[in-house]
Amino acid sequence: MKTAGLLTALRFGDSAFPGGGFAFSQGLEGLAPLRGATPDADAVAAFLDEQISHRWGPAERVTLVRCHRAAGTGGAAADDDGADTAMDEGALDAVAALDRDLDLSTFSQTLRRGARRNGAAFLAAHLRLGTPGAGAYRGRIASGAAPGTLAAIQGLLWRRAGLDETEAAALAGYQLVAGGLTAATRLGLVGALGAQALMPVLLGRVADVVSRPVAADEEPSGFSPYAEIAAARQARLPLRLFSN
Amino acid sequence: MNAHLPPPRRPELDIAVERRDAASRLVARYVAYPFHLTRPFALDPARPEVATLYIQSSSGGFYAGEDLTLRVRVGRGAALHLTTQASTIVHGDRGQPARMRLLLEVEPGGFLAYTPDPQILFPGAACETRLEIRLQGDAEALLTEGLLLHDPARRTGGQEEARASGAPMAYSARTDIHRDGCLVFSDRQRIAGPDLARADGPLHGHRVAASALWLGQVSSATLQSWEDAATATGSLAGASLLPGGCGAGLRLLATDGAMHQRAQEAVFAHVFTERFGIAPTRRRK
Repeated sequence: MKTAGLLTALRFGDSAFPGGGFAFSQGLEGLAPLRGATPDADAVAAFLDEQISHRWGPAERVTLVRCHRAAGTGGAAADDDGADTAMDEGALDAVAALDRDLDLSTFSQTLRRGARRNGAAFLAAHLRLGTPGAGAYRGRIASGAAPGTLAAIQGLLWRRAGLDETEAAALAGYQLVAGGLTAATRLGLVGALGAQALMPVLLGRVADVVSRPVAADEEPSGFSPYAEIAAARQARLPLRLFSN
Repeated sequence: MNAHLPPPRRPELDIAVERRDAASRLVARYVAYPFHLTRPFALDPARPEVATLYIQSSSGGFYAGEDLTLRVRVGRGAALHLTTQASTIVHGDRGQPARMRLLLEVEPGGFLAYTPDPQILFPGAACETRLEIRLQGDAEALLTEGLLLHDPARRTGGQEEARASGAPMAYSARTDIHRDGCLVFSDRQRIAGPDLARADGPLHGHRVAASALWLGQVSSATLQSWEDAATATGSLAGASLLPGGCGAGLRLLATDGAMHQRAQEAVFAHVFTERFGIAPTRRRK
């Protein structure tokens, strides 16, 4: 990773960046009712490992990478006030198609909603920062042409912000781990140091998954019934800390 | 992306059911090896419009290199329950996958329940199922699919090596839901076989993973009672509303085939009762 890319990734990966992911546990909150007991650190790590390997890796990461590629086919410096070039319109349409495909292939309603809400918060921050493409893509979401899932918008805007494909995928994987461990900490499942102790193994899994190539026509897929059941249980909790 | 399945050669099983007065009749029937089809049964006297058909295999399972296609059409106002008499063994040679493609069409007012028993994944099996359903108007459907992991580790004392050597090669099940020509949901489950067999894998110690898709109008309250019906069988189950308002889906994990069968019966009974106002007669297998 080049220094500029590293610094950009650190900037967007910083918890101070207003990306909005704090409200989501990706089903982790539903783990206790599913297990019938409070999950310990090992259970938290296993849950996140499964998310990385069997959901994010073959699904969201695929969409992110393909949107990153599609975003590069247009004018990276397109004017955000609506003066996009025709070429950029085509790129954004391609991103929107991939965005729709991820949304309509996501089984769990709470995870679909989470992906859209996370994407909206992420987009709002980049809109205010003036990241190229943010305004035009918001228009597509407003018109119903795109659902605005987080992975699609990450691929689009991190490309436009200068991250390469691997950097963008690694950053998204890092945020999945960091967000999951933050949720676990807030739920009282692990302490702050305990969360840090889980980081190396989980980030190693992210590195492994990110190294796997994404084919040009690869579609999002996965196999995570346990996490989807956990998400369904979380949605029925009478008191919830997280949106999903 | 999301293109329709290419026009297949003549399917090995190609049937059509239409409404004739109070009953649903089999009006077209082409069945070739390895399939065998029973005659239609009217198992629910109070709802004679529901025809039940059992698909059987005369080949002893589903083999690597096979590429089988089934086409089913349910006409306007007709109702069909299509199921199997037992689970299907998927044999493996650690080479080519066994492929099955299903093309289902349900016309307005029609109802189709396609509830096959799970596929039993033998060592080295690679199984690839692709189902496409086209619903018109207010047509409704219930689709289930599932895998049952053959468990050599149980016979050899649970050693991790035995698990690895007895693992299937791959499992892939894709279901595309079209309503009035638009793709509204695509369920794409894919996993490498060794991950399925791992003790710490995504089955979480269960041998059966299954899904049910209830395509129709489903309220939040009904969704919960559907999930509760499956959970009451001892299975782990979670239900969710699907994209595009196309219905609801349920994921299910069961420790063995018997538990899965109870859950599948509960899932079917719930949908049947919602649709027809009476509980179904038990489908004997």
